[in-house]
Amino acid sequence: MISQYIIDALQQLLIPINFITLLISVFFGLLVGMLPGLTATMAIALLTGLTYRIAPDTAILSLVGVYVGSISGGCQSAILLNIPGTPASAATATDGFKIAKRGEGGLGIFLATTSSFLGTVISIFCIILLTPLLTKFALKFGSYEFFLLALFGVVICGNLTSGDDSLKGWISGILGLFIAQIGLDGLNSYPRFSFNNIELMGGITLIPVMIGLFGFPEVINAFMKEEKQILNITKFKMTEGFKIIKKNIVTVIRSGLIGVMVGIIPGVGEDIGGWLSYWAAKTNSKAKETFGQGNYEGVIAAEAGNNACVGGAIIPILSLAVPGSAPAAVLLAAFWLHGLRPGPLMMKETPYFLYQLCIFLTAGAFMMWILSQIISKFTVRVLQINKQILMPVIFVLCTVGAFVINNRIFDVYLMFIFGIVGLFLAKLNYPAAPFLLGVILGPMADTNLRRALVLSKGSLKPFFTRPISIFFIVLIMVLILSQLNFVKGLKKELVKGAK
Amino acid sequence: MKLKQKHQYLDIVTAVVLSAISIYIITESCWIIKDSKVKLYTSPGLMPLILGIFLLLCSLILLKRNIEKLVLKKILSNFKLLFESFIRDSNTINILKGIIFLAIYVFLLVPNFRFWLASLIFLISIMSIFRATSLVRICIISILSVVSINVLFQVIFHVPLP
Repeated sequence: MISQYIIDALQQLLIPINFITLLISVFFGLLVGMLPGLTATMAIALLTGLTYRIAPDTAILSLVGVYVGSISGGCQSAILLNIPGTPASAATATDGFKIAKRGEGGLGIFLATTSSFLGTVISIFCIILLTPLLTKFALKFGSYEFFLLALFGVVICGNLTSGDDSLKGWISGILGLFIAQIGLDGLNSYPRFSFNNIELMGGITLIPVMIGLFGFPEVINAFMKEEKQILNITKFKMTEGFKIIKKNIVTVIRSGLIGVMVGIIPGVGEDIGGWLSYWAAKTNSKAKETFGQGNYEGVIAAEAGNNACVGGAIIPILSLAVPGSAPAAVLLAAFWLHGLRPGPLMMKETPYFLYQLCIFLTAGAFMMWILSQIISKFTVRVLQINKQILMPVIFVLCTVGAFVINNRIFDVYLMFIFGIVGLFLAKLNYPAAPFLLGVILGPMADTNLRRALVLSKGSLKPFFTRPISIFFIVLIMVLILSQLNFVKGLKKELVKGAK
Repeated sequence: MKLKQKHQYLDIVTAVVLSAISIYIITESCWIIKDSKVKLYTSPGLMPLILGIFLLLCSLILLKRNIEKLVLKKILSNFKLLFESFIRDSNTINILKGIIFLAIYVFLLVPNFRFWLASLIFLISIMSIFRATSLVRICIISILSVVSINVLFQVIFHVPLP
C-alpha cells in the first residue's frame, strides 16, 4: 500500500502543470525568503488565497514549495547583507556575513542551501517515522487531553518566543485565545462579543489575521530609513563545498534532529531551530572561538536546523492538527480550506496524504537546492529593490489575499485592524506567534473544555486522574514555574552561548 | 531617557489598557453566563471568563513589576517626556503617515472605487509622499503592478478582486 501511495504521489508530481507550479512556487519562496520584511508566513498566507480555487494537490504542492523555498531563501540576504531575510536565518548571519566578507560569499550560500536541503530530507524521514506513532498516541486523547494540549501549546510558545519575558508571551497567547471566542460559540451557537454585527457572528477568519499580524508591521517598517551594504557572490568550486559538507556531516545530522524536535513543539518557529542547532554545534566544536568569525560549521548547523523545522512542524499538524510553527499554522488553514482533515484520524481516513506530502517536500527541497545554485547571482539583485517601492505593492497583495477567502470586504478591514495589533505587539516586544497560535487553538480549547466538563458533569477530577492529562498538567506547571528567576539564569546562558 | 526605561513606561501603559480590557471581558462573560441560562460548565461565557481572569492577573503582575522598578514620583513627569520624544521622532511621523495612507486605501478607496483605480491611486500617492523614486518611475511601477495583479488574479486564476 505504501509503495502505491508513493507511486501515486510521484505521478502527481510529474504532471506538467504540477511540475511547473512547483518550480514557480519554490522560486517565489526563495525570493520572499531573501527579502527582509517578507516572511514565509506571509507568503503562504497570500498564496493560500491565490490557490484556493485550483485543484487541492496542485495547491498543496505550491504551498509546500513556497514554505521550503522561503525558509531557505533567507540565507542569501543573511550572508550577503547581514540582514536575515526571514527570522529563521538569523543564526546564519552570525558566521555567514563574515564568510562573505572574506570573499567566499558563493561558497557560503552553497553550504547554506546544501545544508537546508539535507536538513529538510532528515525531517522528511522523521515525518514518516514519527507521524504514525504520534497519531496512535493521539487516538488516546479525549476532550480533557485536547483542552490541555491547546493550553500547553500556547504556554510553551509564549515561553520560547518571548526571550526573557514569558509573561508577555502568555499575554499574547491569552489575547489570541480570546479573539477565537468572538462569534457564535461551537456548542450552543450563542453569539459572543459580536456587538449584534452579522459579520462578527461568523467569527474571525484566520487568514486575514495572519496577513495582518505578520505582513502589516513589515509594510510599516518600510517607511523607516535604512542603509544597507550588499556584498557580491563570488565564484567557488562545488567539490570544495561538498568536501566541507562531508567533513561536517555529524553537524548536519545533529542539527537536523534538533530542528525536527523544535519543529514538533507547537508554535515554536524555525528561528529557534536555527539558534539551538547553532548553539549545539558551537558547544560540541573543538574550535568554539572561531564561531562568529566565519566558521563554515556555524552556517551549516543553522541552516540544517531551521529547514529541518519545516518537516518537524508538519508532524503535529498531521497527527494532532496542531501547528508546529507560524508558517505551518497557515499550511494547516490551507489544508482545511481544501477539505483535508489532518489529525488523529488522518492515517485511517486519508493515509495516502502523509506519503504524498513527504514526496512533495522532497521534491520541493531538491528544487530549492537546484534553483539556489542556478539563479543566486540574479536573485541577489532583488535585494537592491527599494523597500518603499516594494512594500506598497505587497500591501495591495495583502488586501487581495485577505479578500479572496470569503469574498468579503470585512476581511480586509479585519486584516488592517489585526495589522495595527501586530504593529503594537512588535513595538511593545510582545511575540506574535503565541497570539496566532491562540487564535488557531482557541476553538479547540473552548469546545473541548466544555465537552469535557459536560462528560464529567462539572467535575474537574478526570483532569487529575487520566494519565495523559496529568502529564500535560505537570508539563504546563513546569513551564510556568521555570520562569521563576533562578531558572531564568540557565536560559540566559544558552542564548549567550549561541550568540 | 534610556531605551530600557522607555519600555518600562510603555509596559505600564499596556498593563493599564490590558487590565481595562480584561475587566470588560470578565463583565461581558458574566452577562453571557447569566443570559445563556445554562449551567456554568456548559456556558459559552466560561472560556472568556477564564481568559479574562488570567489576562487581568498577568496585566497586574506586569504593572506591579514595572512600577516597582521606577521611582513613583518621577513616573508622571517622565510620561510627559516620553510622549514628547515619541511625537518628535521622525520615524514615528513616517509610521503614522504610512498607517493613515493604508487606512485611507482600506476603508475609503477599496470599498468605493474599482480595485484597479483604488490601488493605482494608493501606489502612486504613497510612493510619491515617501519619495521612493522619480514620479515617472513611480507611475510606471504602479501601472505595471496593478495590471500584473489584475491579470494574475482575475484572468489567469479567476479569483475575484475586491
